[in-house]
Amino acid sequence: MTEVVNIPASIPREQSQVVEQHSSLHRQRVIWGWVFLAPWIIGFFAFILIPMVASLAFTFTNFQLNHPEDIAYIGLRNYEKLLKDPNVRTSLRTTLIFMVFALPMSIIIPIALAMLLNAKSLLGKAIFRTLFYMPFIVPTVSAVGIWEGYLNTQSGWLNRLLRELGLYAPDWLNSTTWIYPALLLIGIWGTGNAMLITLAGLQGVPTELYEAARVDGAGIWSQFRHITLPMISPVIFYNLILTTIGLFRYFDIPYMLKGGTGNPGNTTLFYNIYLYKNAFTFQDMGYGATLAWLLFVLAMIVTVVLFVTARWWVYYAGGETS
Amino acid sequence: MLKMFHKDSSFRLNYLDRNIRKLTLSGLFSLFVAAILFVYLLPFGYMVTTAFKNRQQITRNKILPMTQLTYTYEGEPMPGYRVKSGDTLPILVIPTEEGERELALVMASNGEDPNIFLDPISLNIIEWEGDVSSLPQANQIVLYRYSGENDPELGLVKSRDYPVYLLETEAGIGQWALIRSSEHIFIDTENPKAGVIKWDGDLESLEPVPAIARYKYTGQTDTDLGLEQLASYDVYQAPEGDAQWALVRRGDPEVGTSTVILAFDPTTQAVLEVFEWDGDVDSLQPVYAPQTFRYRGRDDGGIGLTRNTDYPLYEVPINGETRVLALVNVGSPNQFIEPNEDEIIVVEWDGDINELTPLYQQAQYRQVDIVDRANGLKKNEYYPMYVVPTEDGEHIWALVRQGTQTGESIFLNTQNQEIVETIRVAVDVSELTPVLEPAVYNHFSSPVPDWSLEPGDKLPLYQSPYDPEKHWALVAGYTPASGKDSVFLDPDNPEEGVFTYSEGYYASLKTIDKFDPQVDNFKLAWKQINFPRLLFNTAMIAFIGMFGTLVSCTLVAYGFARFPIPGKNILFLILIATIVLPRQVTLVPTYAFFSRIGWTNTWLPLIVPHFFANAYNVFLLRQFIQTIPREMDEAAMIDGAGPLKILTAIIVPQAWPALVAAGLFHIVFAWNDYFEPLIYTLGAPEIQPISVGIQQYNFVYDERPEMIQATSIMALVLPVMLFFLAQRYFMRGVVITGVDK
Repeated sequence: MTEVVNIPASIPREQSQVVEQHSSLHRQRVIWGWVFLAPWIIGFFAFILIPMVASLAFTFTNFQLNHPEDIAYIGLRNYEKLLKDPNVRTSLRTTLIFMVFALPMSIIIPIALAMLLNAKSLLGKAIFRTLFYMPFIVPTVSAVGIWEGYLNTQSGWLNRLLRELGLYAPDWLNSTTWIYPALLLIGIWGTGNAMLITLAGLQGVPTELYEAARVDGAGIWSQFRHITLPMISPVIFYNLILTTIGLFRYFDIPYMLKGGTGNPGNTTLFYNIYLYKNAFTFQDMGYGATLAWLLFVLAMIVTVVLFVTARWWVYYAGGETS
Repeated sequence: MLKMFHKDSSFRLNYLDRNIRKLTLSGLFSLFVAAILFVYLLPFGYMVTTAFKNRQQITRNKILPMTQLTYTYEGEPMPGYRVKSGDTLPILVIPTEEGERELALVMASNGEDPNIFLDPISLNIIEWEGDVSSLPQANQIVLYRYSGENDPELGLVKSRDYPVYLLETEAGIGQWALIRSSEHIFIDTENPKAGVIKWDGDLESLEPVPAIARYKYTGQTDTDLGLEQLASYDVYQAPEGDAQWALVRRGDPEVGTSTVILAFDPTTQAVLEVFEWDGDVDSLQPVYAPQTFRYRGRDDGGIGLTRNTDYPLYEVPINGETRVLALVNVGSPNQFIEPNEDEIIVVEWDGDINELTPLYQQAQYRQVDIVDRANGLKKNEYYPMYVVPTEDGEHIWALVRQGTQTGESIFLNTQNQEIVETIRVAVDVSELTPVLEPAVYNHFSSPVPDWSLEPGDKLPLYQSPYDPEKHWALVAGYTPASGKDSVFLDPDNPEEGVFTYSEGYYASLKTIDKFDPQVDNFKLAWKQINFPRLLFNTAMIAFIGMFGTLVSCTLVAYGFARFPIPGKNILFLILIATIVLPRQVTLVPTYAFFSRIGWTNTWLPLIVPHFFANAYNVFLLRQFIQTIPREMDEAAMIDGAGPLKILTAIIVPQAWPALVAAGLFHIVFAWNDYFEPLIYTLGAPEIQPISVGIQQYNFVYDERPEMIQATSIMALVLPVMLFFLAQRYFMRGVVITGVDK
């Protein structure tokens, strides 16, 4: 879960109206500017850039956290191991397959919920908004606990309901097939934030556009297709990027659900769980860093591809593309 | 306007009508959304109901926390003793007229009633009056497990255990295993390869070798003393006192080792001390392992009798007389048992079964469906079957009642299983031909009861299947597979005794329940995982981090929004790009760094980085600050206010909806964050936040779903309250910045 609220793709241009005539005053303000930016710049070096470089350096070593003094340069051995490791392929495939199902869901459901909450005829909007957001505040550990009970094969409410209806009641959490739908269901509870952002985007669509469309005789679907979707496309794009990154680092839910074992039958051995095992359980930081960099490169490639495709489908009302 | 409405009432009606229609539509739509919300939040229902259950209520498969009401029995004890399958009973040697018998003690006498024993072979209950404490306990005997090749001629079977006797041979006294008692064949346990011998002496005079009791050591391995975890050692009586000694190692003067003794308490099995002893081991009195009997239900494994099974009866000629016996095993010889004896008496007969005369008895018809008082029809009754000649041929009917006042007998039509119909026919029953079927012995009855009732026993209450107003108290419930009928007591008339219910599984009866939420779960969770501590840790990590992120992000956002920094747009893009960076890339070096400077197992790695701004909140605040008119800054600047003064006096008071939003996002993030607290506080449970600490119920305590949910509800209270209190401002902060300007 990420603490995210906004739409970075639409950065308003600096619209300074103060004309800096006095050059010493200008210099002074530049200095003040750097002072204010200092926390982020220090943080960027300390917690992002230097660790990134260090992490890259670790990939060429056998760095063990419990024996840091034994660190030695081992060339490309970690990369050789990476290529040969069958668990890397298994866990990557698991992560990517899960992503194929989870991505559309985590885009469509927030839009659908936000559309419902944005409807003019909905009474008690504030209450609905809060209650739909509530599962997002539930600590992930609790959420997993709740779903574990809710999806229990025998006593779980969902299976009782399915049995009442005479339907097949699957063994959600222990079947190699049903574990993925179960994870998707649990994932729906994390969409509160995306829903809120989408709702904000929907509220930003000027009402005049709909009025004009109605005058032109556009139906509900046509309005949605030709006004709502393009207008909120930056929000969709933003959610898409964040969800993609979030799915690349999917860890909490499968880890808590199955204690990092990868059960049933390696189906929950997501890439990050394997990374965590190597770096923190086996304390092999060198190989852990190599795994992390592979993840970074893959996430970067996918992000860049998404950014490139954004040219064709993301519409910026201000005419800006970034 | 009002006037106009008065004039044109149809317009007003139309207007009202449209409003009503609009309102109805809104209501219906809102109901639809509420239905979706209901499904979306349904798992919360599971959370709340589970948090109020106890372990038993969880297994009960009811949605609400319901407890089955019980009836407390106050009457006389019935039947006074019970033997459950799986009970282990000590075996005592009892002197009887026919010699000594080894019987399993079920219940020692209380002074009035006789002692109750169980015969381990026939499973019959035997009463014996006398002092149990004076009886010697039967010892386990040493068994020899043969590991050589099978030899059917001598009766040697690989992996079978044979009893061991002390036997005097030419080579002296040795331990020999008895292979076949009929031919006195023994094998030397020391040297089984040497073959078997035939011993000529009297088997009765031999005593089997008693097995020495063993002590199983469960403590830590100690190689110096020769102690091994889970190893078993021979037990001896201590020379003085009640303690028993386990011989860990026998001293060997040649190697230079000493004897090691582990003294333990025989009742608690607790280790008293481990010491080196210089006495003579052979002078110690060994403790022999007492023989016990493990009751495993009423089946007799000896000859393969299965409970509740029919065995056909035959007339068998034995020693010149003809006896009626039940056939159990066919073979040579065939094995029969005496059907009319309480004890199981096996009779063997070598001959051709097909030459024997099977015994016939009159067939009985069992009716299970209908109670018909007028015709004398009862449920579960057996009725004898006859061939009844009528005008339209012969019928096989069961006789219900013979010769009523009208001279007619009442029969049941047994051909039609679907409809139970009674037929009245005037016939002389004594003239009818009875329907015969092979007679059987049903091996069912065994006097070992597996239930008992004592005053103070709490019996679960069920609804009577016949009268919904009536309650039944369950004394003993059996599964349908056991073939036994469940035993009940009428709580209104306990003095009438117990009765059985044979028409179904007791668990399918309706239970009498009361709503019984377990509020104590919350109290227990509060104490058990030290919830106040976890809450304090979480709140400290969240609020200090929130303070840091708000201060740093406001400064940075202000810098980006208002100051002419060269390359500002590039810097801002870099800032935004950090969102895309997977945490794992920087995690390893950051962890290594924090571990190096000794910050692991403190809060610092979870708090300090938040004092250096993050992309999400900087972006949120910058967007908001940009909506604040610059004219206000400029006016203040003209009044001589510096950048810091403008920030605190103008920007912050204006930007507080965004600050509330950012702060709340951080709280929610910190409350839920699992990964970083997990790796940074793994070794220090006392500083863990709730998200990690709650896991104790998964890993430390054996899966306690009710405790996890109770803790989760307590953990939810604070963030949900904060969200409700702040949500108005929070929404404004998000909505405004979310608008695509």
